[in-house]
Amino acid sequence: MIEQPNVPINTTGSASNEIRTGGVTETGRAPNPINIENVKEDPRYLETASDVRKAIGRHNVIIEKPLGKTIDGIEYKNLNKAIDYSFEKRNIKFDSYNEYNKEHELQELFGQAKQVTRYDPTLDKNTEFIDVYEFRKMKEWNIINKIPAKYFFDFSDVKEISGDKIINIPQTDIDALIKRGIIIKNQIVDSNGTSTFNYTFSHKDKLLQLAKIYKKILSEKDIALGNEMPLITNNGEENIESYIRRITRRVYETNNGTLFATKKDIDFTSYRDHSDGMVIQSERIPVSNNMRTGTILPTNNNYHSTGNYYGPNMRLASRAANILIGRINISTRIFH
Amino acid sequence: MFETINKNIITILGIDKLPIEKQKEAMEKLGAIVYQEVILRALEVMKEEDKNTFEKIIEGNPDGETIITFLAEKVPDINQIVKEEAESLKEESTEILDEKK
Repeated sequence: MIEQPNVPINTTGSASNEIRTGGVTETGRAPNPINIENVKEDPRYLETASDVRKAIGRHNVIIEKPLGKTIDGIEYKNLNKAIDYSFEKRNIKFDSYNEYNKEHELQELFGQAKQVTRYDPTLDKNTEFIDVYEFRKMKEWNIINKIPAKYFFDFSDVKEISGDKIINIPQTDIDALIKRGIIIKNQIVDSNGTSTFNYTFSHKDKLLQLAKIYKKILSEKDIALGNEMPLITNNGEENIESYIRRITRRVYETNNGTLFATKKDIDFTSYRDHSDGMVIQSERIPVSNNMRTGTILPTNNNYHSTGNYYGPNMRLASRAANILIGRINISTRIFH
Repeated sequence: MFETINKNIITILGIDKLPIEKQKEAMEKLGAIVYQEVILRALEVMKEEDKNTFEKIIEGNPDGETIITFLAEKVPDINQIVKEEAESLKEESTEILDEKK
């Protein structure tokens, strides 16, 4: 049975009582100052257009999750709260804000949520609720997770996939995915009038947008390595969950210019391109002595701690702190 | 009030003993941590409607005084919270440094 935490819309959904970072790091200790110039900004985690402009100076970036936007008829702000609340109800804890963000992303993409009206005995009246379905407990997830991500995404040239490309997936399963609104079946008619069918993710646009923004901050080297593409690893072809976790990963840069993503996000393993045998992806882990551990929220370069619950309060506090620190920069009088 | 709070943070953290340029750098890093913790604590005790108002204020990219004034209005002991968080950060940082010696 699908777990279905339901959330009254008027409920905050935040875990404010559980948040108490106390300025500790992943080691449970106080944060060490870090050379923040070495941390690559990641605009996907910036929540407003002004945040993006401030961080990366681009004016044409479309924020993928404007707070006023609705998703499946649910205002994003409320969906955000509902997902956080579902994490709290299930007692899910995250090691870092980074991990929280990824899980939130996956939940949003695959979890599905519905806004419903029903009787609330505590209020003795009909109230609007958001029902959040945990994606890992949906039977459809077991199907999705077996489909190699490459069949859905090719960001250099968005290709559609034909039905027989996912021949290992029984038609009944494909139909279930379509019925649930997770994938879309598209009819393609060529110039000869021959009709074929393609399948695409319902969330494809959102993922493409994520990838598009992500590519803008990737180094040429990363793009050349094909890091934005689904991978083939020693464990086989990258599935959707691994792919999304990777594409939403935090990218760090050391003093000597080496880029890496935290190994925890995905275990990169060397593999060879089937066509010419060239190694195009290898394990990249932090090896430089000048790196320190810690989780950085790119919007303000602040540390976040481990073992606490991260939610809307953290986002809001981070943004506010960022603004305050920005204001100090403007006025230097206090330093004299 | 914003400047007063900044000065308090700088003093408690001992940043005022650093050269001017280092003061700015240290405040950008450590001050951000203190402020974040302070605001988190403030949000914990704020009413939901106040939080929503605060969120709207932040979305408007306000000046520091506006933010601090709002927080002080909704959380009367904000100065004490700032003091506690700055001292807490200083203590924890000192412990780390001591361990590294």
